[in-house]
Amino acid sequence: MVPGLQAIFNGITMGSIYGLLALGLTLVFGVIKVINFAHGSLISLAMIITFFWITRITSNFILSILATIPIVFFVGYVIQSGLINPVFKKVKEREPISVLLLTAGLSYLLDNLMQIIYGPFFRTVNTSITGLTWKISSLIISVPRFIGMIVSISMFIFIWFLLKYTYFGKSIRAVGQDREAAQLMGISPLRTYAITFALGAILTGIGASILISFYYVHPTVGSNVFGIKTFIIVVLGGLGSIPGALLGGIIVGLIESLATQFFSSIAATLLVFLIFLIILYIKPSGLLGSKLEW
Amino acid sequence: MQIFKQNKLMNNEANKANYSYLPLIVIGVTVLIIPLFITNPAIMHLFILVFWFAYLSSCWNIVGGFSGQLSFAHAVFTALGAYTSSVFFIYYGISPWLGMLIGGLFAVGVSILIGLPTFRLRGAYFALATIAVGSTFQTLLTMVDKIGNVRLWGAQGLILPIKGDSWSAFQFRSKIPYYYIMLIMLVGIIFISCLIKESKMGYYLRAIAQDEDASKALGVNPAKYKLLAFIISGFFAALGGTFYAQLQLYIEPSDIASLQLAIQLILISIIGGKGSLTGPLIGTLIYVPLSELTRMYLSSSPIAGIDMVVLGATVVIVILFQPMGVRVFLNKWISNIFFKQREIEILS
Repeated sequence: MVPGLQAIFNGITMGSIYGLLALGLTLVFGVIKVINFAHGSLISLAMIITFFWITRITSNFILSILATIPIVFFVGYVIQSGLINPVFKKVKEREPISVLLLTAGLSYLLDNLMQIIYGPFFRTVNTSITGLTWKISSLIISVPRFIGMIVSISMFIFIWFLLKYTYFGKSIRAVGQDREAAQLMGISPLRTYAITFALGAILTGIGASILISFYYVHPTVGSNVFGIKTFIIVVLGGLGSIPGALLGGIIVGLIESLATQFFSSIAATLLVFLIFLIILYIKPSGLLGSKLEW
Repeated sequence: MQIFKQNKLMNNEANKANYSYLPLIVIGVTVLIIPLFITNPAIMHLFILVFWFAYLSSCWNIVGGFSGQLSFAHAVFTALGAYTSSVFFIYYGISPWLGMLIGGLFAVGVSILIGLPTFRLRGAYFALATIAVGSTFQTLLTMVDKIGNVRLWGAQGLILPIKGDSWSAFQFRSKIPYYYIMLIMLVGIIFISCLIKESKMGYYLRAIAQDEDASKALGVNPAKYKLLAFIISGFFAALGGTFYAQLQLYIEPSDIASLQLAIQLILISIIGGKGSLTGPLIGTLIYVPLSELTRMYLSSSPIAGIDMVVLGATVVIVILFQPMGVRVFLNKWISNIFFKQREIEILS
């Protein structure tokens, strides 16, 4: 067997889950032009909600993921329509910095609120797929990660189809391209923003729910572990670019698993960061980002 | 109407000349003589920390407030300052005063490294790059145990050797020297902020913060001035880091290099009012007591961590109701009381 094949496979599966986590962020940025610094908190929130369903209500993993979706949709909708839209109404700028600050404050608030309610514990849960593996000759496939990859890729295809071919998707793209022109065409920008944010929250929530089948649950795991990775991925792939999120995710996943196998986890952190810096120097708009300076 | 307006303006000017220095003098004298009355070292320590936070958020305000660039990398600068001076002192015997400047120069290097690519683009790229730098730096400091012969002790943190009262080692038994050193640093950074704000560069930065395209069209080079502001800000933040290392004589990555610290600086500046000279000071005076009080009275309750929730909620509320910070309310309030319905920019 080729040495590193296992690491490459692990990198691709984990990377596409990273990509799914980053998809919500890049979608929100592409349309609303707001970097959501509370993205990591949304990841933790979805993990904790799924954890709650699966430990207290039902032991069915799929059912608990489905039960998480409406809640994160609601949370996302409320954050956008209740907190961010009022600032948009007040400040007439296109990309007001106060919205960035608002989401940063919100992240602080949510993380600590979850710490109170859930407690600062590291917990794991036994889902029906936890720890399962398939073996193909000498390649070991972790079932949860493999399912995560399948779900992630189908979500990317679904979002691409939604944005490209449906009337609803077209209205979202229109608002993303030109808010005023879209308004003249009879689309309500603020309502579209709220739905887009909620859609992003759903995507994030699905990714986060799958994570709990092989990762620990903690109130700050989203902000400290995955949130920062999604920021790096989104800049790497291009802010607002949807295929860029998948590509960036897979690159980060590959670097991490290969560097950890051949060097050390310190090298993995450093290497991800170095590649991030190099891309930033060569092509600041990201691998698949538009050349437009926004 | 025109004449009336002019008259009012002149009155404003006259009032400013007469009274606006009075509160400043009162505050200055009070701050100077505080160590004569307070002998409890714990309370002195709290005062020093208040000044320290005000100092660092004033540093952040130069880039974050004046030029409107959201930096999450300021904990990197404080950590660079703290670790550089400490490592040079422990392993090479170089005085922390010199180490402070070396740390500042390292911070300048890092700020150029971050700023050069990201300032060519607008807004969020810079914020994202700094968040990546900040978290990577913290992770590295936590994981790296030694570089060559120099042991950094990873997550355990560095302990500085105790030398007793010594100006060359920047160590004092009493808190009073620390108090005055921090006070001088704070006054210094406010003075520098004032110079920047009133200079051509300050006007450029404000123009960039308001509308980058328009400022570009008028011949301002946004990348250059944003980078300059970032360098100045980073240099002084590193000096603050060295001070912290000498005050605590112990530094660890989860404390001095944490993203949490960077976020705290941002929250302080927003609560007070970013982009103004007094904003970071007002923010600190609200934030630090609020954080200490909530920690004192609420953290022993069954709902531990409520103090941070209160802080987060404060920020969200402040932004929703007054994005320019509490300073605006205070300004209105003070000018209503002292100058009867005339709005005067006392807290500029």
